[in-house]
Amino acid sequence: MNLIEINELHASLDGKEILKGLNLSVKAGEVHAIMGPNGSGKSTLSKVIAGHPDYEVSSGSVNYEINFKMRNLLDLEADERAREGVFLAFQYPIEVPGVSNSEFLRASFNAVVGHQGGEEMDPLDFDDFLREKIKFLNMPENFINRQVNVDFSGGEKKRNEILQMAVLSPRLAFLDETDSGLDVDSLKLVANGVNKLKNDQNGIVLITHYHRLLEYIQPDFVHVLHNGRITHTGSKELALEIEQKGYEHLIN
Amino acid sequence: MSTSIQPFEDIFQGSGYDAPKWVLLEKERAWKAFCDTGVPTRKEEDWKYTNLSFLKKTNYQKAPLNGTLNADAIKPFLIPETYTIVYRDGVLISANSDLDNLPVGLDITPLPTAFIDYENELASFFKRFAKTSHSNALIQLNEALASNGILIKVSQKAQIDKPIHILHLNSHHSDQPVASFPRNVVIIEEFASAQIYESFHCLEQNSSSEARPFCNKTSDVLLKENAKLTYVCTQNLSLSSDQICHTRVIQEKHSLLESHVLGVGGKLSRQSIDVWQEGEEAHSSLFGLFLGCGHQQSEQRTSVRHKVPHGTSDQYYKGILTGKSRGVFLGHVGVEKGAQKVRAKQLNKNLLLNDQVEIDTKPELEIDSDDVKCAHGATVSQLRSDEIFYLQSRGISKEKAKFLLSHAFAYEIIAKLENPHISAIWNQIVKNFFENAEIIGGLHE
Repeated sequence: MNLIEINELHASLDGKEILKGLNLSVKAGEVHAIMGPNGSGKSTLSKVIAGHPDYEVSSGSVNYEINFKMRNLLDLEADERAREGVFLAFQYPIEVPGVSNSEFLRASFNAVVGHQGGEEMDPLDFDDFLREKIKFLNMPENFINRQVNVDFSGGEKKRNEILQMAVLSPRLAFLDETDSGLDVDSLKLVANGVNKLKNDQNGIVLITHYHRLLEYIQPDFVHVLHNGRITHTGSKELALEIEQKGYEHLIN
Repeated sequence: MSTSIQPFEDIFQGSGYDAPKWVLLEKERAWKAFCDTGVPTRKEEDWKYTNLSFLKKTNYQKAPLNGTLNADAIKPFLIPETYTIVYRDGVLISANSDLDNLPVGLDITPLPTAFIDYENELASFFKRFAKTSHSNALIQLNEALASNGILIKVSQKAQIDKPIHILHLNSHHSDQPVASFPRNVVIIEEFASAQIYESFHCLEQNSSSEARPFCNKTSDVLLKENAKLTYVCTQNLSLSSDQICHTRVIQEKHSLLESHVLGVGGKLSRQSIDVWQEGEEAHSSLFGLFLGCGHQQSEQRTSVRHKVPHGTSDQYYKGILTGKSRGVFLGHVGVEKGAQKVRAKQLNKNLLLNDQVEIDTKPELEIDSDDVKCAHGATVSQLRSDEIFYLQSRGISKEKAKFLLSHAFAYEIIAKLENPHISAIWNQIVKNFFENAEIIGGLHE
């Protein structure tokens, strides 16, 4: 059974069509990589799936498996999607001054877990839980008390996104250019985090410009997104080909 | 034209106390001045956005003089590690106040007594304020009608270890609302330092009564050479209260003022601060946060006048409005002739949570000196959909997301407080405000 099925999806921002008939299906346990030149619609895809209200879907469908049934994901608000296990690691995470990571993640965790019928956690239990996740991902312990993304370096923000993913253990995660702006060490840390969080129950979609990330995370499928559609699908060798020859020769 | 307003006239007639003759003459003078000008109207620039006509229509009564307050009633408003002064409906409650056993260098005296004990000092203090400062009808009304208040005096070189908490507890009298006129006089002497935390609360948060109590408070503050004062004022009255507050500060050479104000409650509320830098190299920081929901009108007014060279000042106010509320920021920086090398900054940022609110912001510079650096500005913004989306994508509801982001906007001002007890209180008040705003539907579009 597919986790998500995207069929002939058309979506626009401010009246400008960006996705023009996109098809993609992901099963649990799979890692997909979506590559594509600037402006091809990569970030738009991730925002439409996560439910950004500024993007308008004009046609096509997005179905997502909830309790073994395919449901129309587009009917749900962004927060409802998150509570059903959809996660987006942001390219540009937002700063929330005055709110500690622990407070923020607990609110988020309790909203998601509460919806899924699990038990909500009080601050003390949650901090223990968070500390475990931080250790598991080799991240600094001060991530617990720092204000959400405030004064975080670019690399730290990306790592914080992965920490959020670890806390929420989503069933479907889109990682939007999680590798951009990272030095080699941060890239390894983030990639290792993703590898540790990957399992046969969840699906991961990596959106990236570069082959570099795929040296650390092995994708099962590589797709090329161009002009709002997926034009090529292949194995990780496709990513290597792009790295060597660029998009031009594929597209033309 | 002289217009008396009967309820105020009655309160004035009953506000006498044993004091040197000049004090009573001052009260008379202030009353006459108030009657001459009357309640300000919107034709006056300073009150352009403020409708005070209710002052002429309400049948106010004087606060009842009941001696003590139940300790349990006060407890929720107390702050650990402070010297506490309690007012109820503008009346000083000595039994609940720390007037004795204060540390060396700190003296807190009820004003009627202080006029006798410190007669000469207070006479020159009032002369100095009369000469320097801005006054208006509401200040005159307070001067005329105040029958009590306190003098806080910190002696030379004394460093007061704990904040002085001036706690105002107001009540709703269903039949006839109370008008109260508390008054603080603060003198921080040379090389001394102190922190004052003044807070306004209602004993009952909700009142169905249309009769809104009115509180008109003034604080006159003198910072002598090298004195240092942190003055925090929290206004968290019920939504069925009206309040006009004035703080006037004269700063001598090398003195340091840090003012933090929070305006949350009140149907109509205005917190106003005027600072005169009379000595060189003085510094004034004025920070403020004002919130409005429902049909509130929340106003902040600031003025810093640099009368001498080498002074610095920094003003930063933030407003957050929701529901159908209205916010007003009137900011002023004046640099007088010859006051060279002054550096002054003023900024007002506002967050509007829907399109039914109104903000009137008027940052003004008035510069009569050529070698100065002054900057001022005002912004009005809304929450960005990207920000709300980020929080929603973490499973947090849209309303909760708006609350967290608004709180984040406010936090920049809250973070300027050094005292952790006070910043915790501000955080809690802001949190409660948004929860309440959500209940009354202010956060929804």
